[in-house]
Amino acid sequence: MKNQKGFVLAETLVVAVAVMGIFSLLYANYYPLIGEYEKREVYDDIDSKYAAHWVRKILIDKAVNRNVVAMNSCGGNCHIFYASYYRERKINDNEVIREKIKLIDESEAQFSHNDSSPYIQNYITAANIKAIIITPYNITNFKNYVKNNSTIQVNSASANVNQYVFDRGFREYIDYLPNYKTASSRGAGYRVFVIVDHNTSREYDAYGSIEVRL
Amino acid sequence: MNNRGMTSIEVLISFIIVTAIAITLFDTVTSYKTKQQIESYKNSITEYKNSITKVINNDIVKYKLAALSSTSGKTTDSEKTTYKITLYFEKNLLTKANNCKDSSYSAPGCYKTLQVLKYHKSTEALNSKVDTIIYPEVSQNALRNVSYPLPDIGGAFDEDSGEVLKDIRFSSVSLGSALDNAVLDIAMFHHELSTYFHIYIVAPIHYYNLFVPPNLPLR
Repeated sequence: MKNQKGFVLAETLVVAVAVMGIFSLLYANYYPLIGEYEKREVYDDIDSKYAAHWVRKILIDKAVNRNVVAMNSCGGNCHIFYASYYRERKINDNEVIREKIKLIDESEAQFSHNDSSPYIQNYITAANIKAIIITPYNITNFKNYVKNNSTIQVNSASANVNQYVFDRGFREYIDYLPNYKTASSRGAGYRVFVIVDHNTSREYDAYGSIEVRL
Repeated sequence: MNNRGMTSIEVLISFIIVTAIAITLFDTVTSYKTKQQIESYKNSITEYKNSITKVINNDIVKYKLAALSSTSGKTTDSEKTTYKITLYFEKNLLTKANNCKDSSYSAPGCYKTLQVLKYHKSTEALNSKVDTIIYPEVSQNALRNVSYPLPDIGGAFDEDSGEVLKDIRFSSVSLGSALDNAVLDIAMFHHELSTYFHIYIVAPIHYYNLFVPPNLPLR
């Protein structure tokens, strides 16, 4: 005979609880995605991408005598480069100045130079760049270093402080990036990272990176 | 056999539970709806900012910026304020044969004029006039102005004054320069979000030639 019973309250409640449980799980998984989306708004945005472009251009400029020195500041586990660049430029018919470009931290924004208006420093000031970091193209070791350390030692006699502290946003950005294990099709051996300070509108940092063939 | 369905008490309790859940979720859902709307505004503004930044920077990278000038400056009439900024390039935009650096920066193809039109108010008659950036592009071997109106993300119509207050408007245009860099900052203000958005273009001037030729009309 046909069963003509409806649902009893207990059954309804059990089903309701089960459905709510499923929704709670969905919510718990969906909610962090909103945070992820908000974070990634500042990854490789157009300002930091063009800033990285100009930094790369200055670094690869043929007028720059490059003298790249490996940093030993990450425990020998990775190769973050501390670079000294000299760029000669003519300021008038008789005078040529040589400016030294140094990386990579706020204290280094003072850059050692023998001119009151160094080219790279002006760009960094104008574009509100907080820091520039050069790494090998494959950033596996750099990612591990950033994951396990919160600072880079700055081996510079002219630096006021001897370390650069990674902020949380930068650490998350580096964690988000791929390792770039496959060699660059353009033969780039390095990557340039820039941290741009957007203090003109809202208080936030944006992060950009670009490959560079030195 | 029990042929009963739910009793009215059971139905009532179920309704109360469902109502309680709906009330609890109402605020959450509303806040997400607001958030979604704000994000869509921000997306429109970011897309606008990106397109302007890209067209200007493309020229700067490709044709090498020689100088930024605001000599024609700011003019105001009853309807709008117009900011004019001239970008001078080292390479000619129209012909490869002519190098502006070696001849004259006032020659055709050696400069582009960026205009930012900021309307004082939008009456019903002026409703179609939204704040706009005008920047030329090369088309059929000539420079032709292209308009980039601010995205329409709404506004409020005030019946008393007959004005439409657009939600996003240009706020200011400023030009700065360090010795070797030009900084162009076009600020937009969203009054409901109380937030400024910036089109912020920084580029080295005379990257390859730090001499300023005498015919260069520097600001």
